[in-house]
Amino acid sequence: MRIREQIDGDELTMFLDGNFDESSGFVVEGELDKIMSKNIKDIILDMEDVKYISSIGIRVLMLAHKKSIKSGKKITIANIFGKAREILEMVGILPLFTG
Amino acid sequence: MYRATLVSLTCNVVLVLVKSTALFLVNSLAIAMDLGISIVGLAVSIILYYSIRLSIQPADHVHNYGYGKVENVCEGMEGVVLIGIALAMSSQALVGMLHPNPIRLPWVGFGSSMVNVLLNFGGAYYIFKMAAKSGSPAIYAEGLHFKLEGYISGMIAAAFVITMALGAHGSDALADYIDPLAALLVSVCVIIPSCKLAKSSFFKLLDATIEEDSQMEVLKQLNKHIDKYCEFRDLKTRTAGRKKFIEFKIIVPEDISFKKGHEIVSALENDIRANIHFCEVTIKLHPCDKDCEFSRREERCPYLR
Repeated sequence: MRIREQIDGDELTMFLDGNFDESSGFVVEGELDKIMSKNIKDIILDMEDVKYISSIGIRVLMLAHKKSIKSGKKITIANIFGKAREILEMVGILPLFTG
Repeated sequence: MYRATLVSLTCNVVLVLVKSTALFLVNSLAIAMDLGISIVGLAVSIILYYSIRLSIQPADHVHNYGYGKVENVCEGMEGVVLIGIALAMSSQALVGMLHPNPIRLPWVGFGSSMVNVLLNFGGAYYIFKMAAKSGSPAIYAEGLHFKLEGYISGMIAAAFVITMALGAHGSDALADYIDPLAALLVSVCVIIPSCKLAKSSFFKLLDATIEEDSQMEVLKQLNKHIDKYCEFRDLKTRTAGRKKFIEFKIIVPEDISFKKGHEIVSALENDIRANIHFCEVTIKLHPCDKDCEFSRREERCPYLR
């Protein structure tokens, strides 16, 4: 998976491109942990180019949501479509990131 | 489950008898290969019967997690022995290609192979039903074995049809190559799924995680109760036979009452058990370390409701 970050003041957008699974899940988790320790208030995960999310990806997202609450930050998901969106809806975690 | 093993045993005994008779009459390498597979199947059916009896025994002081893994051992054994037979027979088939032997009575070979097709697919249908009901990986592997044998017997029947057709057209020399060629194709058909079966069983014996659907289900239930705990950590899963083991930690406010903590754990355990069959859930409660914004701002913890 390719990861690109764009910072705009205290808002960071992380563009993810590829499958969010066993091979990329821990890399994304590491990047999110680094961001959580920085002075960023809003984190946006742009998942327009994410085709598939496995259970590892779901786990990383749920942990990121919990860490964001713990550190007073806000994490949202933008531009999620197709199979990836279906999986988040099936597990029921999409409202955690779009509210 | 015992009915599935008895059906498997009965089918294998009949198949061995039919194939032995056909081999004696026809002298076919492909039928010899098929007979070898059925003899393995018969041995595995007997082992399966005793494995099932052992696997359903409850956990005890010697085997604290139960005896479920014996089913994965059975799965693995079946895969490895089938690979061995396929390799041995493929070498025989290559020798047969170099020095072909004419087969006798191909119509007897065709007839017995068609009987085998019916027995194998019929047995596979019933055993798959029992496997779905019981969730047993060893019974499922047995169903796969019968299905595979059904396709193999079908291929052998087709080989005999081609042999008879070539014989009828005066191409007896060419017809002599069909039997070893069929045996070689059967070896290839057996090796690939047998390798997958052996690999799958070894992964489970090495405590690989539960399948993706069940992992998603665990996360779904964790999400259902997400407003009751600070975090979850160290989610670990594994299988032993048909039993799934799921364990993880949940972090809760250190001021939470024992009763409240117990309610959260019980609710999670019950929901996971209701949605994933044959599972054992272990959830450990950990107090938070107050390293959060609520603590720093001296606000009330939202999870202490």
